[in-house]
Amino acid sequence: MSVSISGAQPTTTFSVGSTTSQPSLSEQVRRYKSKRFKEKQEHLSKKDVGGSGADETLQMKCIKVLVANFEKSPTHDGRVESKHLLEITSRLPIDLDPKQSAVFVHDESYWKRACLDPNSTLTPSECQIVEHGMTWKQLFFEHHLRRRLELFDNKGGQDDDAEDGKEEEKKTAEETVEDLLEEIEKYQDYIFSLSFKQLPSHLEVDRICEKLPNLTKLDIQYGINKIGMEYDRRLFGMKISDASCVAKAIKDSMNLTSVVLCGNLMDDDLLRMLMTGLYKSSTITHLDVSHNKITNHGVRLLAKLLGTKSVLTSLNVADNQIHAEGGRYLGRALRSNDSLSDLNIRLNRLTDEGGRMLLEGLRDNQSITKLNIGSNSLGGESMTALSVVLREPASELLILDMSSNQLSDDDVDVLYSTIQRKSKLISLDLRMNSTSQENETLGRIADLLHTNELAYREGN
Amino acid sequence: MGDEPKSGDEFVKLVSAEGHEFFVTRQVACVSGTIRAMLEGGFTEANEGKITFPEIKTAILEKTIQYCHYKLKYNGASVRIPEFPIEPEIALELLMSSNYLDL
Repeated sequence: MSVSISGAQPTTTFSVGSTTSQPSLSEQVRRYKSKRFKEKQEHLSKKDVGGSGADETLQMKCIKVLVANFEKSPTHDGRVESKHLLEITSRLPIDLDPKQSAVFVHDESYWKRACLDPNSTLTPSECQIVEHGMTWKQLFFEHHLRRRLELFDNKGGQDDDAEDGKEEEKKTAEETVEDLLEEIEKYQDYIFSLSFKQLPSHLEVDRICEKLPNLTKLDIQYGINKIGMEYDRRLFGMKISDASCVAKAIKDSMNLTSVVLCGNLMDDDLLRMLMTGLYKSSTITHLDVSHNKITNHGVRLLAKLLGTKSVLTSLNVADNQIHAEGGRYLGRALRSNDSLSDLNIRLNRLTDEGGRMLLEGLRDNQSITKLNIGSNSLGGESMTALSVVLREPASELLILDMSSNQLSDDDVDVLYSTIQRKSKLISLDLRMNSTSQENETLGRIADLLHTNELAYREGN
Repeated sequence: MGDEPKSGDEFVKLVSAEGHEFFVTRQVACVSGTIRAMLEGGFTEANEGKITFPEIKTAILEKTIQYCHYKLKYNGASVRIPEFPIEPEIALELLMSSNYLDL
């Protein structure tokens, strides 16, 4: 099947998936089919396709008429033969109304064309079907929804001082939200992840999530793109009303597994609001609240998520304002937790004492495999606590990042002697510490870890 | 009726689902491969010169016959060929019947 995409003429046949490193689902299905050595589906013969006027067959003329009228009366009749359907979808224009095309067009070649078209709003780097369930249709609609939300403006008209003017404007704004929700309903089956980097209209996220039954991932940030000279601090960050909507969306959802809320200027109050939803959810396995303004009080709330019945496997609280007490809360929670395997608490203010309290809590923990405690001003006490953790035979810690702390040469020696006695650690980051330049122990640690890593790979 | 000469002048009868009868010359009818096969085989249709299409509606059959005349008239012609108009409402059914009739 032919391949070239650039400057594509309409008559080139597109092979779905051949330009990506991984073939899309429909390509795999097609390939599997062709191995059955059956007579290939009859394609429209040359004489049917070519020419115009009297040379063209009646079938081709009908197809052209159907294509031209697709928006008004989409063909959803099961009686159309597949060879005609193929011909019709290959001629459909790319800028069809999404409400129609979502319901009536299923051919992946059409969606691939729509995504890769130079006039579409997708950049080539965004066309990674791996991130979108290996189907172009999903990619198209997730991106479409993102753009709709980011550009949605429910402020209606510009200047309106008159009272009745405001009434009417409000009415049109309400209608537009309803229209948007109605539109979303048409392609709700294809949205598995909702993400946006700005939401200037601050419309209720829970109303949108209500319409998305398949939603599994939420990745939202209340920022502003390309603001330029109109920068206003108040435009950034989640508001309390937004937080309550998000909490409600999380609480009501049955499928949500991943919630990413970084960069929302989230403080403890907003987190408290979110917790009302997070606490009720029994499906969330990945929570990312990095790059916010969470302090110890917030961490105490988060620790509640790590109880014995917790299903959270990955928690990211990097780049917040967590102090030593926060380390204590987390350590205490992790003592009775057996679900968390990935914890990232990088770039906080734990200090040596906080680090010690956190690591003391990890002593009997058998589930944690990846730990990032870099950039927390950790020192000797933390290292002592860490060596206790690593010495436990049941410890599953594999990947450890302690970069940008204040570990000294003595600490490195302690670490070396601990790892020597059989540890499973395979990756260790000790950059930017207060170790001296010519520390040989580091080299010996590296060798040990190398051996461990090879053993790990062989074991898996 | 017996063995009449099979020249182009002779008329055949095409009957639609509702019972409408269209009389067209044999030459025009044979633009459609399916109809030609029916008329040349040893079937009842060939002998009587009448073909019934119980699935094709009158409007569709009429349009189909118009197309046959259109094609016959302009095939290989050097004059400007006009567009063949098709109403969107019948396009779908016309597609299916023209697929059946091999047009």
